[in-house]
Amino acid sequence: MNTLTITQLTKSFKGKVVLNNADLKCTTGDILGIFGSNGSGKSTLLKILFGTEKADSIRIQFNGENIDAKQIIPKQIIGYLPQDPFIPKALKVRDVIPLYFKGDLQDKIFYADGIHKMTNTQVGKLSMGELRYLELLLVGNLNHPFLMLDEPFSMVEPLFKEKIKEFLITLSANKGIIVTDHYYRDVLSVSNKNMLLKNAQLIPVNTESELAALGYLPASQNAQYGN
Amino acid sequence: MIPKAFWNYYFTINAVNIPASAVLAISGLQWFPIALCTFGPCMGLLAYYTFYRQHYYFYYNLGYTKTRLAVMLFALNVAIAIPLLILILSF
Repeated sequence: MNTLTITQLTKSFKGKVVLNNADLKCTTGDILGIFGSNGSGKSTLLKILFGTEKADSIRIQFNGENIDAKQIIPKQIIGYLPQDPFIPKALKVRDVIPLYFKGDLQDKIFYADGIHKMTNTQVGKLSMGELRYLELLLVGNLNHPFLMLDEPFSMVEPLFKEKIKEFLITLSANKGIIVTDHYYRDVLSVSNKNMLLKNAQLIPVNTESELAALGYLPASQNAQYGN
Repeated sequence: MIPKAFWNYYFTINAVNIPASAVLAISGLQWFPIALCTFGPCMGLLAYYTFYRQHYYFYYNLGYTKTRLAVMLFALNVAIAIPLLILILSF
């Protein structure tokens, strides 16, 4: 069981505070959904946790020990699926997989559902859904205790969405997962903890109706839940 | 041992590095190995950051920071450039 605790996280851009003393905790088995409107700072939050964006202040504890954000990548504490595709487009899928895995694990990816038919395809020629699924398989099967996913469901067809959900649930047995996406129903269907990033604060939420009540969803949705 | 994934990064940077270094070598062949581990990689890194910035995440997930990748790139190019420079100067 691993625990990642973030406290005192503050970040501002040109005088605009996007994160103000925000706290979050993720442990093995958690799928933590983070919601927020465009520009609220969700991607910034993930980049800060990954160590590729500098916070004004942050305290990170991994299993109770303080660590520097700069150590997240070299110590391979968090795997990160960024919002934009990150696999070099010129490579073929069959050439990418061995760059990430060896032996049995490599075979596991090659024989994963939906992968075998794309092995001879160049990464740049994959559909958005195929690419997102491949990227998730690569990052998710690495040995990081935590995984952060920035919009894993965006532009993904329903069939791949279901595969992604199944995969996340399987992964959560051994990892703590943080997911952010505007496809809130997809996130809510797999998450066991949720937070809304609003006014630079992370507010715990549990249901769609709470998201509506806090103004993330339209007022009509709020009425639908009788609030 | 150099990890497999590094070679993709290395060859992408050197696709800019080698022509840039070759341009400098017009003023003297001995400048080619010198540029190969100084000016050329800087141009390569600049081009990589400009056009392939997102690909850094491919390496981050494997535990390689931007600094570590750059150090490996320069170290390998120095290891190639020194014998090449000795060879050129000996003729």
